[in-house]
Amino acid sequence: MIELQNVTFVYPNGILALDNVTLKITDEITIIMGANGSGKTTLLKILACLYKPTRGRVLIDGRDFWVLNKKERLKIRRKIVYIHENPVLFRGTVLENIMYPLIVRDHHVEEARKKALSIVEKLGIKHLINRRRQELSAGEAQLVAFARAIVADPEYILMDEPTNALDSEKREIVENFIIQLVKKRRKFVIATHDRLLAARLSSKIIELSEGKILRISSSNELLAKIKSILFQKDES
Amino acid sequence: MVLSSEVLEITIRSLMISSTATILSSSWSIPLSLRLSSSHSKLTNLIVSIFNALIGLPTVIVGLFLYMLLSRTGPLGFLQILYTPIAIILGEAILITPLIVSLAYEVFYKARVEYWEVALTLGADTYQAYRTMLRETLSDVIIIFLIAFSRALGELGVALIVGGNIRGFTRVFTTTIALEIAKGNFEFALTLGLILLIIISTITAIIRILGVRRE
Ligand SMILES: Nc1ncnc2c1ncn2[C@@H]1O[C@H](COP(=O)(O)OP(=O)(O)O)[C@@H](O)[C@H]1O
Ligand SMILES: [Mg+2]
Repeated sequence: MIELQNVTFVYPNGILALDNVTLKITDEITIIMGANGSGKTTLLKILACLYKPTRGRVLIDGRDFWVLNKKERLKIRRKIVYIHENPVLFRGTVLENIMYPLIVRDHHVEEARKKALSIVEKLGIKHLINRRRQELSAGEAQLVAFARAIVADPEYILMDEPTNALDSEKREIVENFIIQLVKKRRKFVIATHDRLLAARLSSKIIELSEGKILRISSSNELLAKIKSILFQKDES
Repeated sequence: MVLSSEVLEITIRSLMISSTATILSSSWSIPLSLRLSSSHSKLTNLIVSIFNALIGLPTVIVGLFLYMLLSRTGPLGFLQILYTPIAIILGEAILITPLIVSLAYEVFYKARVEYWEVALTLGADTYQAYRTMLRETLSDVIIIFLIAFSRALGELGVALIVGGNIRGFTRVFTTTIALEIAKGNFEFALTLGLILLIIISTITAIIRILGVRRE
């Protein structure tokens, strides 16, 4: 479980991005919503143990991450992956990119290649494996980043506005994949503006506003709200 | 044109000294700038601005400083390396350190925001993340090496003061040119000057090509 206790985050330029946030990630899928600049990305990077809170603690399975030694931090980081809103791919081919998490975990190259190939097949991007980053569309790059993030089978997958660049077909592939992984007990935290995605996928929705938690609700409530809106429209 | 064996000898010696100085300086400048780029503290900012300010350090100042250290009565006099190529290498390495640190810091700082973070979240340890970052910035780093190398090759103050311009031992392009002009030996000076110009222009061309390819 990832738990934040009174986390405040101030950027070096003095901007207060998160203000005393306390929360636990317990659900299979947690959706983070909120206006631009409300702190969604910062929150995800704190959850991913990439940013160290200015104040407060990040507990992973009950252990205070930022007081652990390097080795223990590495072990924990390898359970959590964060996918940037604008995917950052490395130099080299798509396949090499997807093999990266396995290679740094000391998997054998051949084994890494096999695993990477099986992922790209499932995501329907096998035709891209020999391309380089400058030869991909935004949506394709997003899928590659997704494949690369899950290839080493982390426990927590944190996605930042994942469906922005995806067309409906790719969106469906990703959503189905998320559902499959949830069945394998993987947990997702997804920052998104997409209310429908939130309603379809999530069991919990956290709404952020100016770095603070505004409301925590269940997707059933959101779904009911959306239904009532649709229903009213149907009747009129 | 006088393409004597002396010209060849001076060319090779100059290239050897300046490239060794570049490698030596990189051995501390690159790790330092990597380290600086991964910290946000006020101290880091201060160190970076000091290095920035030192880029334009006059070569004679470095020469003078090193001379005082290395002269027989200086604290490092016992090393007995004054008026040797080693002294020039050391001086040039010091001279180009602020240049390499400042430029490399810029490159690594930008890369850190992207590649560093991605490498870490994909499971890299610190060492692997540094390697990934270096791989992603390789062409930029090569450009920095070339710029630093040109600066070392073209400088006069250090080579003159701590090298001593000893014929067949520490004489390099710039010191020879200065000496030959003083002696009225313009043809020899011009030949060396031309070779130096060709080398520097070639490096500049490579830098441009690398810069374009990187885009
Ligand atoms: N690297 C940064 N440096 C300084 N301020 C930042 C940085 N990234 C984000 N911010 C600021 O922090 C606040 C929260 O940003 P962010 O977490 O990116 O929000 P969101 O993802 O919800 O749009 C915003 O005011 C933003 O301007
Ligand atoms: Mg964001």
